[in-house]
Amino acid sequence: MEGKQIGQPLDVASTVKRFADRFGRMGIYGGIVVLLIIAAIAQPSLVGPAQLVTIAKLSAVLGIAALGQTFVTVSRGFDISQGGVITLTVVLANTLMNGEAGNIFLGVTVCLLVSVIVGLINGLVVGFLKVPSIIASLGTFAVTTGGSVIYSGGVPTGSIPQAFLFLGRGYLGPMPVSVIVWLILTVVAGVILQRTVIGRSMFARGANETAAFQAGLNVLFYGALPYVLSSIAACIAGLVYASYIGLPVLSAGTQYSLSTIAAAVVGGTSLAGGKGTMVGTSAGAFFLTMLSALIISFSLPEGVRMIVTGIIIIAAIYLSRRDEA
Amino acid sequence: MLLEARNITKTFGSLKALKDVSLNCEAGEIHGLMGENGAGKSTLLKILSGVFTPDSGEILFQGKPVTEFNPKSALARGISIIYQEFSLIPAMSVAENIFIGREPLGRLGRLDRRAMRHDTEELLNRVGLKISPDRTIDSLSVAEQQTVEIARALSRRSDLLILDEPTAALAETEADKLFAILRELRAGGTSIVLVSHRLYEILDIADVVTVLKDGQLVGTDRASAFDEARLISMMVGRDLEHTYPPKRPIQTDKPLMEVKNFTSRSGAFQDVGLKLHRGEILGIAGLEGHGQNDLLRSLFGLEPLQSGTITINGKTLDAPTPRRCISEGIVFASDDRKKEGLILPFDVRENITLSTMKQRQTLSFIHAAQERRLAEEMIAKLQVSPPRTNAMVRFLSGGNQQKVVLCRWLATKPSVLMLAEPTRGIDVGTKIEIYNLLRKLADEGTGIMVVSRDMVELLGLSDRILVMADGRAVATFDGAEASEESIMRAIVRGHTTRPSAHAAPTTTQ
Repeated sequence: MEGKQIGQPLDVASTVKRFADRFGRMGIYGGIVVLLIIAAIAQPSLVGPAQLVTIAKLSAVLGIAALGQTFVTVSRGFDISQGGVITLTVVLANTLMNGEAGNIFLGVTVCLLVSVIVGLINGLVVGFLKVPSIIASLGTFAVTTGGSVIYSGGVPTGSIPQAFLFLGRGYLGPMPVSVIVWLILTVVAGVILQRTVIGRSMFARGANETAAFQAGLNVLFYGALPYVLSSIAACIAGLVYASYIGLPVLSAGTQYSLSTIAAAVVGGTSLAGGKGTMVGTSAGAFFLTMLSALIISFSLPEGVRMIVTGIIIIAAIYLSRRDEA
Repeated sequence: MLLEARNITKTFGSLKALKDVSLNCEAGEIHGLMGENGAGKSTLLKILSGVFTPDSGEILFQGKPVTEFNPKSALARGISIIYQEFSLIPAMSVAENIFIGREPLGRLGRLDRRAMRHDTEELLNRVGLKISPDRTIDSLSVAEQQTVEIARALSRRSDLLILDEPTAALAETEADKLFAILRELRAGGTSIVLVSHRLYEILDIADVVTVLKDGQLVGTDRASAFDEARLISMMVGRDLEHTYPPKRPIQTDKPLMEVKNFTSRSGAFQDVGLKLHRGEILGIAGLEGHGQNDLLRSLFGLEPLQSGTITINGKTLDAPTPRRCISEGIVFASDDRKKEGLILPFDVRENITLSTMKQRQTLSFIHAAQERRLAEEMIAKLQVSPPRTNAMVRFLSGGNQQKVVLCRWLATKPSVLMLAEPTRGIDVGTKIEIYNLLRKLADEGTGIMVVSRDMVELLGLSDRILVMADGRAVATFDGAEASEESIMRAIVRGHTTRPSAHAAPTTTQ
């Protein structure tokens, strides 16, 4: 392959491919290092310890939701409804807690219950009715987003009690509480995925449903479970978001539906199912947030961030495909 | 002479599909082509119809040598082929299907629907099919669809019509109708090459019969010179190629598993009953697609049942699913390892423990050390190569992948092991290892059922052989009585007494 280049017109496509392969083998961690180097050269102010902690804090909501998305991606699906669940959680938490510490338990419980129901609906519609997950969860995204609007009458009310703001704004030593929660959830989700019968079964069903069925696994259960876990993760992300903002907003979740998939994919989860790690996904969330921060620091418009993110997602999918071949 | 194929040889990789085969066909002749599964019939048909290019040999059609091998030029030459799977487009009408790609055009290049309908009606008349040209294909019966295929071939002015097992999916009356059409075509000067597994059909309709075996020509003669016995001995005559482990007498007083009234919802098999004993290898024989594989799949709950029960360990299963079967000790290794057996992104250990991981867990946490030990034990037992628990299964050879699937099932300590084509795509050395393994398992008390299209393998391996034809169990042979001849005879007799009740239950007998 290498020798063929000599004496021939420069083959741009294969050069790009070779570069991409080399980059791809470094994976998400290599990607973060590359970003850090670029930042250190172009925007040295971004790479101090305090700044990196801030970026981690900004990543927490995306990171937590993306952990749930990874369960779905591993089982060869998409959960678009995550953004809707985040929005609904933010609206519900504000209204139900209404600024009083005594209502925290009620608010959290209701939000979790609602998210479990949304996840079950996704899982059952995909599992029983065989509706493609991207369509099914797009439907529940619309239902949850629309439900938030109707529930709040278009103007969400209430607020987050001081005690609960600790989750989104508090620090334990130098570390933000939200980042600590995110790291703990990364470990928990990782253990579920890698070390348990549940995780192994979800992996197997995602990679080859027919073979998993013939091996005696309960493919309906392990097909629905990822959507429930994804919804719960989106709910927790929504609670962190709500306690960070402290006020009710209606558009909280919109941006998250796609970026959680992006974080999972950039973090090395295969869209063909059966492959992925939670640590990779969390690194993917950090990478995407870092990338945004870098682009914003160059005073480039929001559109540029979206374009770059889009290109990186496509590149990540391409690289994960090549790995499988 | 319309068609002269001389000394055709075709290899695929290391497999010699055809070796020095010649076939001649006169104008207005029905030529029967016969042979076992894998004898090379399909390869020869595909060379004649331009799908494959022969490695050597020559073909003369209407006296002119054929140099171009592609389906389009074969059609232009006047050779049409009708496969078992039809090439009609289900949502389109009969007329549209017949004229697809060469629609009659009127003025300004507009589609001339009237001409199309008119010509279609004429063609349908010729083949005796009384349906509207506007009916869509998916509203037609299989027999009607096949007749439409023939009408389409006629519309292309075919001098040679090739039919690959046209009666496989037809009921007896429908088959009779088809043969009437073929005779009429012959009277009009069209030549026909016909493949069928049903000996009585071929002897009934063909003028000349050619028999292939293992890619070689066994003989060609006038049909009147054959009888069923001669045809069968020509189709099967060969020696045992492999060595099979010695068999021991089986205790047959108490069956390990009993199957009653098994009837599939799709009609693939009807009213099959069988007994399997401890330590017995039961082979299931039959021509391809006569319900053997479907039977095993249904026993494991992979295809829906109309009726039937399985009795094992004093329990009765009437709606089997893989989970229920596994918990009763019945397991099934499908013939498609990659699609239905292995989890390709998993390593060897994860594949081996997939069905038993629930036995090695606390609160869903898998005991890693125990899991590894089990995998190592199974790898050593079946000599999986490479002997590493963390090797990725997708990089293993076919034989070792099959061993991994077997490792998984043996880890469940099954009492009944069912296998479909257990040695497909596996090298000879590993094949013999698998034969020895199966015999060893049987000697340890496992009941084993094997479906294989390789008759020699079935004979070498089985203590008893159940023969299926058209979805029915037509005979059972003890190892000593079984031979390729006796099995073939049972298949043929099965066809003669119960011809082709594949889709619908027989009403007359």
